[in-house]
Amino acid sequence: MKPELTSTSDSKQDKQPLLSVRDLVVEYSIRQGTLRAVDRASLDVHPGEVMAVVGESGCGKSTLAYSIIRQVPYPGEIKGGDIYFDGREVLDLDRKALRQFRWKEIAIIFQAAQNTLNPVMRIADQMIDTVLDHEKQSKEQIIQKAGILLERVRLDPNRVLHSYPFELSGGMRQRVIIALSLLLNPRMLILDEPTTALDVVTQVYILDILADIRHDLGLTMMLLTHDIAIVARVADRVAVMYAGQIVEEGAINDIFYRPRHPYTYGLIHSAPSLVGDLMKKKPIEGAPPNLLNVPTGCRFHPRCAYATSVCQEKEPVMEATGRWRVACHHWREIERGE
Amino acid sequence: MGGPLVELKDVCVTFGGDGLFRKRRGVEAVVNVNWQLAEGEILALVGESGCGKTTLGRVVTGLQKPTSGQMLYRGRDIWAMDRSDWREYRLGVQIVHQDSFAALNPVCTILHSLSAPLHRHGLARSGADARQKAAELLTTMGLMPPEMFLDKYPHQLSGGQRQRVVLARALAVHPRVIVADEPVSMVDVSLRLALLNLMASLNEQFGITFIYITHDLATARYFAQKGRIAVMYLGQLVELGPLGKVLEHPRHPYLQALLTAVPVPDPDVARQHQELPLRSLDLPDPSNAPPGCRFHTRCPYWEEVCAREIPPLELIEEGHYVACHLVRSIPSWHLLSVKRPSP
Repeated sequence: MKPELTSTSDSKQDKQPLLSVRDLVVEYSIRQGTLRAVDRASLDVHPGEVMAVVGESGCGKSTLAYSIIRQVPYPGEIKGGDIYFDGREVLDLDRKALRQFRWKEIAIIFQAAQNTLNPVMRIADQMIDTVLDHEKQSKEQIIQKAGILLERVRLDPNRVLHSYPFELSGGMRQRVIIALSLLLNPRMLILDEPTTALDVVTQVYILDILADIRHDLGLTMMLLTHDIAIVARVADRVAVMYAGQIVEEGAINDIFYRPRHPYTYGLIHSAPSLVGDLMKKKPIEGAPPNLLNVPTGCRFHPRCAYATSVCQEKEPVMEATGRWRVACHHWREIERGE
Repeated sequence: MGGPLVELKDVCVTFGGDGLFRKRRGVEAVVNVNWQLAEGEILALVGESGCGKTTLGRVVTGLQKPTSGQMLYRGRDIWAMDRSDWREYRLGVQIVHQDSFAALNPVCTILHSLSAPLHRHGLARSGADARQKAAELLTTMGLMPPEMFLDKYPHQLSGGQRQRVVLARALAVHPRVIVADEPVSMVDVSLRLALLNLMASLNEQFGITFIYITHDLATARYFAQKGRIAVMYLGQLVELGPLGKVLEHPRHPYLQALLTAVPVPDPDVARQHQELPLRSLDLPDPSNAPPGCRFHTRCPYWEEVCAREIPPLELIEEGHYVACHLVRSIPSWHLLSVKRPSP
């Protein structure tokens, strides 16, 4: 059985997590050596929650997501750990079970998904293809379902179903993809940078639609992004990743207003904003490490203002208070605001 | 010296159009843009994709000849310059692109990339001199010690470091103006602020004028806090003025909508629900732009006049220009404030 992530002080743990990742290790074997993209990552996502995974490019968040549906791109490989979905071990699923698991249990929307539609197929045919690949249904049934979902993402089914992708704008294509991902009633949706290539007006519209869907369908979501502002708008909980590791995880307000990890603090206080005092903005010094050659001890120590000799020597362990976890030697001092 | 350093007069840029056999309407990427930029100023040029901001940046750098209108540098039309003025202008105005990897030759060392402009313009006497000058440039850019970087290739640097090298190269010829087109959008989030700070220090130290082209209003606010902001919509300049004032009291309905949409990295603010003040979400096709005010098809306040006449850019208060027929009747709009109980 999987070990508990939360500390025992939290007694109100009535709901079981829908998704549990335990000590996941994913490595890419490349010419220059072995690159560990995800290093002993553990994470729980409870039913109905929106969990945001934030981090910079190369921090391993996409690899983490692809591991969950067992689709790590070559030459990547899951080297250790467990992934439980609704109590079942995903890493033990055979081909057939995996096929049922993907899309029917968890659907994923990839980065720049608006470009993943087949350019020479009408939207209606892509919808039909997707469903028939997984289960037997009549075309009329599928089109009817697709129509309802397209209305849910505020598109006109009569127009969109008969269109080719090039006839739709980027924002419309992104909404088609969202509808497509919901066709088989998945319980969880993973969104990898869902709004990155879109204009701000379209972006806010997509986020509103996702909030509606989540509210109406009770969907569990995992959102991967580098953009702290989007997280602030939609997430319930936040996991912060740095150099392949989860360094802090907690409720949205704790993470934003009382961050315990200096990297979390840095991310939030270096994000330019339209509100608030510009003088309080501070950049994070240095740059993220090369994953082929990670720093000893705490991986963030070369960039950290709080770093002491212990940070160079010893890797911090994850400490939990309730459902708030942090891996930093100095989190207590940071919390006291020193 | 007096007079503006860079001035645009009725600049229009049209792409395509008049086909060989039939008259087609081209894409009017920039329509009648006028502005003046003083030495040492920072201007943030913002708008969504396809609004013409990059094209305008190319006009300023002489990479795009306006279809009509003039681009003046120190009061002289760059397309009617003699050789020596042209050379002075080309050295004086430099551009930094979004993609630093594409901007640097992958098979040349950093030293090579930096010394090429120095040799080309006779700014270095010898190879050793060029190396010395390149090292100084890298130091100015915060890439220290410079010896660590001079003999490296672009792929060996991080995105943030590469963008600093690109800035160093632009700086090598002592420019007066740098046009920075989305310089931080491909850089890791944790490094963006440091890069913007660096550009701001170049402005302060050397008095370099910056035109900062971006779709990101939050970084525009950060970088151009003491400067001005120009907002474009489908090729038209819709609002121009001191950044602080414009963001505090945006007058054009398009800017009001844009500011409503920008996500704020603060959950308490981000979760206050605000309707987008727009009639339609989709940007019209630029090759078939609406007549009159191009925003009228999406504007919640529009009246019949908006579809008929192009609104001129009008001065409404000190230094603040707006192109809107209804500017005096549009309700005032404010950014959401942070409502948080004190701890």
